Amino acid sequence: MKKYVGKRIFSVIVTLFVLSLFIFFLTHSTAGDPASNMLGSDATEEQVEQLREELGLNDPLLTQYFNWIADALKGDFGDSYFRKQSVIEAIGECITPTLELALYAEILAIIISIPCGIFAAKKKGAATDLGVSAFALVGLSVPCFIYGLLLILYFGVDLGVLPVSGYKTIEEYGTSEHFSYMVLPIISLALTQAPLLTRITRSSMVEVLSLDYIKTAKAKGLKGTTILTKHAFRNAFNTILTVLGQSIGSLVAGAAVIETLFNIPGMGQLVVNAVLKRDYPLIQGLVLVISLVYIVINFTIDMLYGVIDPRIRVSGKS
Amino acid sequence: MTEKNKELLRVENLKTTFKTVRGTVTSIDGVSFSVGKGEILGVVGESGCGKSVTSQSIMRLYDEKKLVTYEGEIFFNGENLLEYSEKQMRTIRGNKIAMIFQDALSSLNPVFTLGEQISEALMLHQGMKKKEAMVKAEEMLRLTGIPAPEKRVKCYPHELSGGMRQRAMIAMALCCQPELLIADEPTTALDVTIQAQILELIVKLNNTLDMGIMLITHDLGVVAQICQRVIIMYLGQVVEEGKIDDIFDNPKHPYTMGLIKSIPTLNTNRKEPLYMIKGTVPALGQEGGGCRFCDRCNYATDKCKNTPPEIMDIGANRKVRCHNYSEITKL
Amino acid sequence: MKNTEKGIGKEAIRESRKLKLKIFMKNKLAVVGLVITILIVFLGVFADVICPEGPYVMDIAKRYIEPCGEYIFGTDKMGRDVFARIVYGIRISLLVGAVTTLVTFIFGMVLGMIAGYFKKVDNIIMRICEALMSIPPVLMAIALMSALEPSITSVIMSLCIVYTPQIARVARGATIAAKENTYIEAATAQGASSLRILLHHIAPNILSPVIVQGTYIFATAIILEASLSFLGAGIPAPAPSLGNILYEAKEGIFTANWLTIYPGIAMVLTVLGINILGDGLRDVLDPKSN
Repeated sequence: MKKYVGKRIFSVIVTLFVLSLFIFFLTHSTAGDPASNMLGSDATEEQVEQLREELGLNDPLLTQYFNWIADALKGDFGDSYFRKQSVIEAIGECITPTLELALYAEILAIIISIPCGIFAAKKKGAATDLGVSAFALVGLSVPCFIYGLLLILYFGVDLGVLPVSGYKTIEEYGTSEHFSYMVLPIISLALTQAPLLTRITRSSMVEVLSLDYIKTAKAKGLKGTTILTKHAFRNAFNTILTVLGQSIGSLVAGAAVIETLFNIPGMGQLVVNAVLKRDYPLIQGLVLVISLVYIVINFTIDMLYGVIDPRIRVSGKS
Repeated sequence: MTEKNKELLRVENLKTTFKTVRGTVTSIDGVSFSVGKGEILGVVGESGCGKSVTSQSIMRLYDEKKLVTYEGEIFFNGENLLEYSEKQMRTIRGNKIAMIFQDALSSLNPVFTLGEQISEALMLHQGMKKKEAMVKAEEMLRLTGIPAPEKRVKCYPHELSGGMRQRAMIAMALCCQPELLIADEPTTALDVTIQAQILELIVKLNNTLDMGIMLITHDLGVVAQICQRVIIMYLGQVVEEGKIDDIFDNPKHPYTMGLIKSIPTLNTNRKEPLYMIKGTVPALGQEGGGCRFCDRCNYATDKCKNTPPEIMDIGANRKVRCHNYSEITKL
Repeated sequence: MKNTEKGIGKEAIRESRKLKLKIFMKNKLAVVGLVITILIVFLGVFADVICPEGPYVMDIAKRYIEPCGEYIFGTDKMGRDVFARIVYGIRISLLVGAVTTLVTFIFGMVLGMIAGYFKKVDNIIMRICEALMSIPPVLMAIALMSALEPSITSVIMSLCIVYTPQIARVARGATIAAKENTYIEAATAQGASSLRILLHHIAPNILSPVIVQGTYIFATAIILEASLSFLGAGIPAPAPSLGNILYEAKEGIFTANWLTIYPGIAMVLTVLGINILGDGLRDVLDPKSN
């Protein structure tokens, strides 16, 4: 187990290193000069040159990279060009709505998809299975903003019962207000996540159900539901968990579209605005932070794996 | 031991048909036999002859809604299991009839400890509390001769050796003191030395717990060691039945003869090639109109090609399914 | 001897192809997917025959006309024919999806095969792929778009960078598995060059899983392009893509729902057709997964 953890930590560090290189050079290979972007077209050449010097843009690339990394390790991603605050402040301000949204959506997606997947696997080949599979296939083909637009059309425009834009914190406005603003974004995101989770649950359950130990469990006299939920699901859960980790990560990013659509001041919207305004320090910081969240989630899940699957606990292999 | 000869299980004309994509396949066709209380019955045949299907049909383990239909009767203690509801069946499985499988590694759930897996049946059938069941699980492991059972209850299947896993399987099957144990190739996946130990354990448990055992194997040598009676199966049918000594000393069916001939012994001349039954088991559904064995039989006549033989009672507790057994035996 | 063996091999391959086609055609759903996809592709390819006037004709006098005989899907805020925009949008979406799939297929195959075959570079290539895959696709794509001039080519480039690692990973796994085969060992023992082994022995054997992954990339690339365009960071206006048509529809959502509904349906059908087709292909090429 120790070896396993060590190996994973090492690979996370390598990944982060490559990632930081990628992000840094991505934002420095661009045509536009941030200094002249910031100052606008009225600025004189001296002003631009002075700003370039201040921002360290005249240093060799490698020096710039190491400075950036050194600062980043201290939690300092520099200042946003356009927001009058540091990158880390901007992220801190915007992270809560995104995490809330992702968390709620993931929970809803799990509630929908895991029972559906198990049920479909149990009734493999029957009408219910075909129904669930067909829904999952259609669901997989719908981008989240289409769900969002349709929900806005129906609940916001036709029925007019739910707000379609904005964000209210729990602390200030209370739970019901908070959720009335969140419900449509949550459903849109959950509906994009649920089909994949359903499919994975179904296929891994189908696989497990064909294994020998399921027969052993039946030969013991266990009930069908016990076999399904205890013996089969515990084994299928590993696969489901991996996909769950990936889906939480993609939710944080996928929130970008939904946050823009529903005008929620989260990280997604921050990313989109940063990209549209070419606010490079902010882009760098955001990509790094979101990827870090993604990596940490997957790392945690890998560790959970070790707890859940006794085989990995011992051998250290996945 | 007064009830030794009392009948425990009687299978009458069992026919198991599977629904597949290409239509239905009758996997076993009119199988009849019985197991007495405390008796060890050997069920022998090549792979694909329907041994495992027979055993799993007795437990009704196949998915009856989609996969399989059973015909015939399976009397267990005088009651027809095929008339039982699924709920009633669950009180039989793991409780009155238990089963051990060939590959203990894949038959044990990898994410639960041995203790958890053994105690499950105890809590289910005997209404034990978790703690009590765990104690009993440890006791069962000790009974099967696993060293340091107090540690092993907390082990996962992959942490044990093959022999120990099979012992754990046996402990799991026996924890509720079943009246019938179906052992499906329990030693095939094991080394020869471990094989002998497991067989010895089965015999010992048979003596102490007085349960009937159906030992399914492709290995006549194993049968010779521990069984009292044996049935030989070929392509979904019983072709010969009798006491173990009778079968070995005086086989009646050409298939049985072939099987016995192909066992290597210390007296076998090593320079001569080992005897082989010619051909292979034909696929199900491709058997012709006559005797199912006739393509591989050295003694087949025209009658064999056209008329399927019935199983015949030939006295002295022996049965055989062959038109020409009396002529063949004389040869 | 060799010739006859080869002949038998070809015969067997032809047989197995026939069988695969049969399995595919038997799968009614897959055929439905095929029909949808053919229809959509037809619309995309013959866009200028179906709507010869093109997607850009504006007429301020005809803003926000509800669907009617002349404009079956209505008009948008600039009086453009929504049907024409959808048809041309499908063309662009399909183009983006197809080119992305093709390019990632080629690069991913090559990278994956090199990584899988040559142990020395495996670590380097796979670390880079892993790092790239640790950035969620939407985020990665918009970050890349921030560094590029907004154009169709940039969108395709971004998508290729997003998806190549995925193909590479699948190809690498399949290569490693294929390398275990005895015939590869035999070829190596006979002194065949690495290039020959890769092209003649490994490439044909890893095609199936890579193609299956490729169909998923086709579908998700279309969705990702739409998401980018929907965020305003994708295909630049006025060129229509299914994503930016929906982006513009947002403004009129309270008054003109047809601007959302019809492009939405077109979008879903396009992706759905490809997804069903992909599932059908997977069943044929990778029977185990079913």
